[in-house]
Amino acid sequence: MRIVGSWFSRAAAGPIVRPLFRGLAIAASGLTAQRQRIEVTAQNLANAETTRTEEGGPYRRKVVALAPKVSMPELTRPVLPGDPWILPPRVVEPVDLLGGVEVQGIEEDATPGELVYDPGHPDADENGYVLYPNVRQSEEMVTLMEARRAYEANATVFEAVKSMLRRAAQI
Amino acid sequence: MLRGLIGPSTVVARLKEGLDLSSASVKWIAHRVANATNATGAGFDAALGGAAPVDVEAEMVALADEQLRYDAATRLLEKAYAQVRASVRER
Repeated sequence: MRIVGSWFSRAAAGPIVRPLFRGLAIAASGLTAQRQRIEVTAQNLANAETTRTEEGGPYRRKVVALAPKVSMPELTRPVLPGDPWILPPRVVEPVDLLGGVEVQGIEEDATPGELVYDPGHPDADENGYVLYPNVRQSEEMVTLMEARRAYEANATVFEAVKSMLRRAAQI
Repeated sequence: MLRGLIGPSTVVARLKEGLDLSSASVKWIAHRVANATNATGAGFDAALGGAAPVDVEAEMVALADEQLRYDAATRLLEKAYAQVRASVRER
């Protein structure tokens, strides 16, 4: 049985990235991850006072779960003799496996929210207490600033890789 | 004669190796910066030789350094190829 497309076959997750542009793809994955963190932070802040949801109870703070990504794992598969694809088999270096970061999911923070005595509130219990979301504005602002700085760092790396590629094209 | 100018034992080959190394180094920097805010550094990082906290300032310094090296290597390569061009030109 012939193994088709050891190098250029489509990876299960994400588009094909040629090795030349992988630096850009890695930086772009960081940009995407930080943008999603900022969006989730915005969602948390927007719902900081939401006391009723479809699932029942107050809004729960969302957290983005990030994990390092392995790039094109099929690279480790050997190429069979007679494979018509272009490139010969080669040793896979650790740098070939770098894929940046990926968002594995958006999870809920399980810590309980604050109970506030407000008997006039429509969602107050029989004792007059309202369960508010577990969103702390100061914590969200810190997350927002951190994500913004990390986004800028990734953008700097992107610019650097781009300028190196441009310089290489001028040789 | 061209092998003496751009063959495997010449400065051109060294410069190409330097470009490859710089390129790989920048990919590592990009990967570390992309993962700078991960709460868990286990898994992939561990498999590649241990997960250490990312010092973004140090990564930016390393990035600037690699850019300058890359730029210098490309300029030197241009000079080497200019020499080849000069030697093969008639006159």
